[in-house]
Amino acid sequence: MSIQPIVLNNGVMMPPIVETTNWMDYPQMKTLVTEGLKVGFRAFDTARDYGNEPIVGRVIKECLKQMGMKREDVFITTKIGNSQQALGNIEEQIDMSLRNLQTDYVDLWMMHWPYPDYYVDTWHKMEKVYKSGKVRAIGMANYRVRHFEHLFEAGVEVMPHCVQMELHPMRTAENIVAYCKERNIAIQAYSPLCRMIEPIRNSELLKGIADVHHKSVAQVILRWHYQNKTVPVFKSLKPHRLKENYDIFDFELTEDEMRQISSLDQDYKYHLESASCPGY
Amino acid sequence: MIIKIMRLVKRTLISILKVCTGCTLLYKTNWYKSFFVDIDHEIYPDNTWYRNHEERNFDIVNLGSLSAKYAFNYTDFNIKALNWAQPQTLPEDYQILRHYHSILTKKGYVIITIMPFTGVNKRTGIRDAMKYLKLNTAGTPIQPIMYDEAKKYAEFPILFGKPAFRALIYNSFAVRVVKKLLGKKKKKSIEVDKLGYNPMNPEQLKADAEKWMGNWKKQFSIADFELPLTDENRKGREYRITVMRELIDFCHERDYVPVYVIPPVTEYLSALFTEKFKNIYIYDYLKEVNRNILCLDYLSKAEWKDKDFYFNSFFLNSRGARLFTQKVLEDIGLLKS
Repeated sequence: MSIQPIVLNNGVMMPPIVETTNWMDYPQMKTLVTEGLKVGFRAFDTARDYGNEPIVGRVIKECLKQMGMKREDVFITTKIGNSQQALGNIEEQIDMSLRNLQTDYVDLWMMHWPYPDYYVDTWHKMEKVYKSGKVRAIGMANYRVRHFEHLFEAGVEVMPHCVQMELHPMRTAENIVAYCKERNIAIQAYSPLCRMIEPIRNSELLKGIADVHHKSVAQVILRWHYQNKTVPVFKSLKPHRLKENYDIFDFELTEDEMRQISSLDQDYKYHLESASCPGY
Repeated sequence: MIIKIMRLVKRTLISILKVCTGCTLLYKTNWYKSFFVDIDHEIYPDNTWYRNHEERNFDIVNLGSLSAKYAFNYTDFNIKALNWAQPQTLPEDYQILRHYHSILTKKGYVIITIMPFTGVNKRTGIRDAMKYLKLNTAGTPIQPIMYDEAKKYAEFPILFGKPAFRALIYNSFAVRVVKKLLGKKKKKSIEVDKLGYNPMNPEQLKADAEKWMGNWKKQFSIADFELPLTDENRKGREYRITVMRELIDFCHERDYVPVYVIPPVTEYLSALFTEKFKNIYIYDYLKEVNRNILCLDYLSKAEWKDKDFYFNSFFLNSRGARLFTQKVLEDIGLLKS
């Protein structure tokens, strides 16, 4: 079973599947990160806006120690929120995140939203932080093509390394994916299973493919991400789900199956961006 | 640790203060609840709404003030639509759209409802600012004017003074017991907008129309509707030209279709809207905005003259709203006629 990492455009290697930690408290996160590391997860996602960076820092430090692992064995992503963008002290914000996460560097630092009027300036400041070595890669979340275009028109010194966005069979976002792939910008997919809402859960097409491979619908979708080279960032509060969802590297979807899964696209966004980022 | 203790002490003191001043009781009153819109998170697709609803990619939303709230009723049509109109002004329309537009599908319609005073100055106050406080908003508030003060009043409604004391007394245990003993039942009010006819007779409608005109004169500081705009309204107009342009450009950037809709009024009110009045307060404004978008103008259309489409001289009733909404949906092509 060979698991292929994603190589970012600056050579940094990113694991192909990420466990996110949003809105978890310490005991819950400790259980889930411990289980995640046991089953093979090596990448963890958080954000300043999740309000739990310090817990992530504490849990990861404790878990690494307990399992005899080193900091460099895991890949940590965090994000800078809109209120920090409005403050403008981006260089100070990374220091705060590093203190919270009890680490000397972050593997991937993202701008959480293209916050109107701020995001271009934020990016330019993030580029400086990248050059300082405090972060190994920089990127953004929730960008549309128009946001990239606006940013590129303003000029960038560092090409974004990765973008995170809502991506699943009901939202394949082909235009953004193609735009990023053309520019060698890696893609992380949040809500990769579209919260297993009814049309996904009861999709005859997905169930049929799952039966053929003796896998679950969730495993089929995660495999679809893996073969598409989009990195699923998912959350589960059930430890056994982590094991199940990591068990996707021993089968392969055919090209036809990949196409069929993509055909479920309805441009369906579970998360309504403008509710989190007014003026989006 | 010290900071945590201090925070706990502060929270406890505030809670005690709220109990002692009657604020905790006031929160439960209808008087208090009536300050806010969409406390059930059913109208605006905020961060609470989207977790409770799976519908996405809506076909159409409409903005606007109270006349638009009554003019649109999408319940009978097989389309995904939301009526976002409230007693609000154009800047709030734009803020609402900025906060919640992601519910729309690509090429979704944004109805910008135009009423005679969309394009002139209107000062908003604390009650306008309070209205949107219970919405789940991130970042910029819908109504930034007096926002901090509104938050304070929402937290400590006793600051309203007399009406707050009245609400406290009216909802006090003793008064409720006395009312129960006296067998006093709450009068069931008729929801006039739900009627399929107009409860006003021609004389009443004429008087109602004149009352609207008189109130608007006061509200917008207008001495004579036939005269050019006052300086203050001219300034308000300039601001609203900018806001409308931004709103329309915002729609185009996001691949939505903005449409102006000018709803009809009864013949009684229409008779008071002279050509000069309509030009000064509606058409000149839209000309000055200078954005070439579809404009559906029903203001003077004969087919909407029937008083029984309305529940006063100005607002459509539920029957009128259903017919009018159907007509608009047909005219933009969402429904086949």
